Amino acid sequence: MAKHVAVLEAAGLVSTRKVGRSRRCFLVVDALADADEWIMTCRPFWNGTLDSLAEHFESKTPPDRGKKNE
Amino acid sequence: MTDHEIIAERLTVSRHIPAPPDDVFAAWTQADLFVKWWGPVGVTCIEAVLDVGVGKTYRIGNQLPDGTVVWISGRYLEVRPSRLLRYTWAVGPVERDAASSIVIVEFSPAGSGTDIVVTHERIESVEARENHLADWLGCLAGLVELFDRAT
Repeated sequence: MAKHVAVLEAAGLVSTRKVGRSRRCFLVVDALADADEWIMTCRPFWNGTLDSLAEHFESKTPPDRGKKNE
Repeated sequence: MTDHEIIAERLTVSRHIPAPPDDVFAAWTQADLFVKWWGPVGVTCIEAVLDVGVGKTYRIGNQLPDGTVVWISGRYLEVRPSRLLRYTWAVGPVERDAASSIVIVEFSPAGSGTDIVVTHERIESVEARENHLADWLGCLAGLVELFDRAT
């Protein structure tokens, strides 16, 4: 068990502290905040980008569909 | 590239686009079309160099409302015309081998239009983490055990 906790600790997700004869584990919330921040930045970016793509095609008068497949 | 990647975060965004997959794929892969629509409101695409092909690279210049230009670059990992694109994604003007994230764009026909799904995955720096993979797997099993015991 100590080995598993050590891995979590090395990953920065958990911190441990010795209390008497036992060792207490604490969740490091900051590590999750980093993930949360990334998602909070990226999601609006992609939502906005796909909105732009949809608008691009909505506003476009349908061109003569010249086949340009590759 | 290693045969296992550790996904740290993943987000998915989808939208219906009123144009067939061929046209939407073209808009995503031809630079002259790409610059016309790319980016959320307020972001202007000042340049796009899209050398679409497996192992080839791209770079996109994004001008923010304050005038700052942010470059995004990467390498194509998978290209299936009118169906799927998968590429690495990094902030910076030059593609880096140790890319920190991967973007997957899926195009599916839906009625007369296209359903598009973008998945963005942030990857842990593999070289630092891969040695821990076996530990991690054991750790997850151990974690379950840990909570089983905690009463």
